Amino acid sequence: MKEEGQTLNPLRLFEWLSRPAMVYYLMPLLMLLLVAGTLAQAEIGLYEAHQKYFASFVFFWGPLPLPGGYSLLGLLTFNLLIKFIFYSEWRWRKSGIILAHLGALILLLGGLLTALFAREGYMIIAEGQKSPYVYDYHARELMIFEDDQALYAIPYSDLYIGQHLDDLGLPFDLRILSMCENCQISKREELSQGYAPEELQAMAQFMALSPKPKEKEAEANMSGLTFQIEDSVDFGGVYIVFDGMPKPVEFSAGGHNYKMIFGKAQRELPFEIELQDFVKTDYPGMQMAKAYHSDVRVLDGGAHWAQRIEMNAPLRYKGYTFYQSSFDQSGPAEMTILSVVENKGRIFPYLGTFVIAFGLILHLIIAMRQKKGAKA
Amino acid sequence: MRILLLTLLAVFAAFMQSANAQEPQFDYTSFGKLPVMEDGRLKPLDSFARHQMRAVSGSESPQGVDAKVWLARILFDPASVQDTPFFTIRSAAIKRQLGLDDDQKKFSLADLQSGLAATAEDVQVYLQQETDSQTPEQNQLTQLHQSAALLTRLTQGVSLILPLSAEIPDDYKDAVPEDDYNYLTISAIETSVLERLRGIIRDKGEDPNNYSEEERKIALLSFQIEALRSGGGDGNYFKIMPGSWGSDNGAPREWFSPWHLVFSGEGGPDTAQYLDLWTDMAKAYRAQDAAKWNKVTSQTLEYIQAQELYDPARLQAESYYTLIQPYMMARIFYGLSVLSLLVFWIRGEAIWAGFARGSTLAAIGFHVFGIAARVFILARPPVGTLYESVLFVALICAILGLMLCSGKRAPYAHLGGAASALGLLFLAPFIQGEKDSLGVLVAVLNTNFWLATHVLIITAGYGVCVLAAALAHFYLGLRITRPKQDKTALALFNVTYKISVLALLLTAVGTVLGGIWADQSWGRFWGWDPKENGALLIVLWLIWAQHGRQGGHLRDVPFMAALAALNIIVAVAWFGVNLLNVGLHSYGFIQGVAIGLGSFCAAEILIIAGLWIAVRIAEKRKKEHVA
Repeated sequence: MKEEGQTLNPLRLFEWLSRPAMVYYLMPLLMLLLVAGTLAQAEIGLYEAHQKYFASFVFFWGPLPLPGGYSLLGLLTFNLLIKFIFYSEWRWRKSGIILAHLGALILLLGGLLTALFAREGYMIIAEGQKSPYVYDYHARELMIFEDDQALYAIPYSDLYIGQHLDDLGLPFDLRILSMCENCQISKREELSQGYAPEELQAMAQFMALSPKPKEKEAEANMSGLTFQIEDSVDFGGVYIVFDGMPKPVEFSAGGHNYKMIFGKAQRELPFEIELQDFVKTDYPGMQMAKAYHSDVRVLDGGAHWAQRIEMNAPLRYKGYTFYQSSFDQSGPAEMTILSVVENKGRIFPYLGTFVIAFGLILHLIIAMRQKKGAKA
Repeated sequence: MRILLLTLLAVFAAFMQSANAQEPQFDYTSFGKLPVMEDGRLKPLDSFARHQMRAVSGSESPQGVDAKVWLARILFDPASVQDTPFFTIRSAAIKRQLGLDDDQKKFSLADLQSGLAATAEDVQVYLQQETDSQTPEQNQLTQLHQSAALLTRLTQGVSLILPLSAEIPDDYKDAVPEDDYNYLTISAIETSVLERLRGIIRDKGEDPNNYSEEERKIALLSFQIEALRSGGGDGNYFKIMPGSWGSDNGAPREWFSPWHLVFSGEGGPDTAQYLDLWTDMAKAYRAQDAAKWNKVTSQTLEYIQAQELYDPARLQAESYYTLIQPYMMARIFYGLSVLSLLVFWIRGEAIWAGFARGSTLAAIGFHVFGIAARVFILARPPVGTLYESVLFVALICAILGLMLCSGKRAPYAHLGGAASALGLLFLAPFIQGEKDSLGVLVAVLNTNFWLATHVLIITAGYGVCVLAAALAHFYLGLRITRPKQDKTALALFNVTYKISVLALLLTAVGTVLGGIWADQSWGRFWGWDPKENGALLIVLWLIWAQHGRQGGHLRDVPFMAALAALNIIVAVAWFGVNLLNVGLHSYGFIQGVAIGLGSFCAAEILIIAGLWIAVRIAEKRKKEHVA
């Protein structure tokens, strides 16, 4: 006992954290997380499972709390880092192993950078049209325009039921009455929700939003809000807004025209992309696509140039990467759907793979040479 | 479905003058090499015929019938098809439903006609349901209807160039050739004949008894023309005619059925000439003139090859690939190798080891030929589908096993490699199912660079894992007889450890390369999708085992048990994730795989646990004995 008491110092802790034993104990937990997170995808879809298991510190498997992806990968990174810096055996015989660990560390740090800073979204452009806007796959926002100038874009995640928005500097206040990440649209006559008919304004007179279970594919959720505009006799009352609502909420107040739109959060690129032609090539006699690509023009200030984006061959410009992700040929004009990714950590996997591969090959060669040496 | 059956009857009526039933000594080689477009890919007619035969009768050569011969008969002598028992029905319930004789197994279309007509409406309902929600009987009945419909469609493949049985009315004799008139040659008088029939019906009603001899001929001819048109219009199925002949705009060339070309009016002089050659083939076949058939099939092949519309070498390679059946041959030789190694193990006579080496080399030769032929035929790297991954992993196991085998030592690596390859090659056909194994790929997989790097490395990793697991099994088995690790056991331990490091190298690099492909293709390195997680699970398992050994937590036997269990992890990562049917990788979902996988995993757990316990008991006994 006395000895154990003596070992309780930071150096000993460091040493303990750097032992292979840590990896030995962490791996089963990581494998359990992997299995649980994978099985859950069949039930709740990829995005939800990702959030619950991999992008979390703790998850519950039944009643059992278990460490989530962040905790386990954090501990693993810490273990590798300490081991690498302080306890590596800097000898030729161990060089392969040291390099393999360095490679793993690079991968994990790259993962951290990606988790912290990468941003994903998509662009949807019709043939002959151009756009600077990238839409988020999941995040929504309530946008408020004054005389067609965007004043606010309030993230859905910042809103809550009962919230009173009175500090926006507008001639009216907003109160959030209800929210739904995936909304069911019902006829107002079938679902009054306790509102008097004279309170209801615009679309809210005909439609009511109520929450329903989330879709397996997160992109298929239709989010929405019910809110009240206060302090106005003319246009005060209850409104609804939801994803893809055909008409924005519009009214005039204090000599200005106001417009409110709810939908996928969007951000503006420092340049524009114009779709010149979208081409889908099928296998002969089949509906199955062999390949598809978009011929686009990048318009940046006065400069512009043509570029082709196709499956497995993206366009990279100014830290953004554009991938041929999907298409829509249902409307009169063909539309391309491009994934847009900003990821400062994207070099790390390339580097990490190279270092791991080099390290493990070196380790194998050293092990074989030692065997030969021993035989000799 | 009902329309199809009626059409079939009409087609039979049209070609009632059946050809001589006796098969002459025809050479079908050139016929089998003619190009046909099927499932987005140009293939030799022989391959097409095999798929059709398998779809109709459930086998590629029922009673040893060659598929080319079978197809020629259906195409050129459709009337003879009706009474041939193509369909095998085993289910008593289905037989009862169709009003068939319970003692009989084989049935012809004529036997089935009334039963199929009576159940057509039910089948329309079943077709709206998911296959999983159908009862086995419903599923079989639906398949039977589909097979009958397919056979009907095939009989109409070239029906427009087959001689008609109806007599030409006197008024039209000058307008058509005197003998051997067919739909194409009488199409010039089609409108007029139909117009005449309408007039006859208007004047004399629909009862043929009121018609004159000439009017009856007109009625019969009109009926046959209508029947052929409606049957031929059923689809663009037998695609033997190249579209956009003579032009090359870079897009994949479309191929069409002869009927489609006639209806769409897209044919030209080249098409007409090619169709004339097919007409000559039909005539030769129906006249049972073997010499003429052999000559005209060669001419037809030479003609289409001379047009340079496709690369005949690829089709030739496919013909050889089908003929040689490389995986069947490889299975035989791997089997011989495994048997010889077992004899060598028991008796220790070196000749068996040599025989095993020869057998494995022969098996690898066939195996490599099979994979190389696929690469050449499909013009892409060897692994793009789950089926192909099984073939490739089997090859890796066999080659690595042979490389690691040493004559002086017990042949564990060799045996493990050959046995794994044999098992995987037996598994492969179940993975593939009924589909053409030489299939085209979805757009995202259609990239030679990543198929050649990530997919090959990760599947090679699977192969090395399977071999490591096989050796670990042998090690555990060996330790039962040698409770204390001796020189042989130590040597096996060392070799298995090194293979596990190689497995870690390949699976780790392969997994990360998969991430890099994902980064290149759709912009995210890692998405936690089931296939990615499966691959990562193998890597984590190997890391866990290696660190357990390094840290002293897993000594020799537990470490080897962990490596033996790699089989389970690999099976789950490789096949199991397809069961979840989510994410970007779920392109190879297989029905029934769950039961097979579950049984395999349960059996492996029992075997490994059994071996481990047996080693522990042996160790304990040894200790007691020493004490």
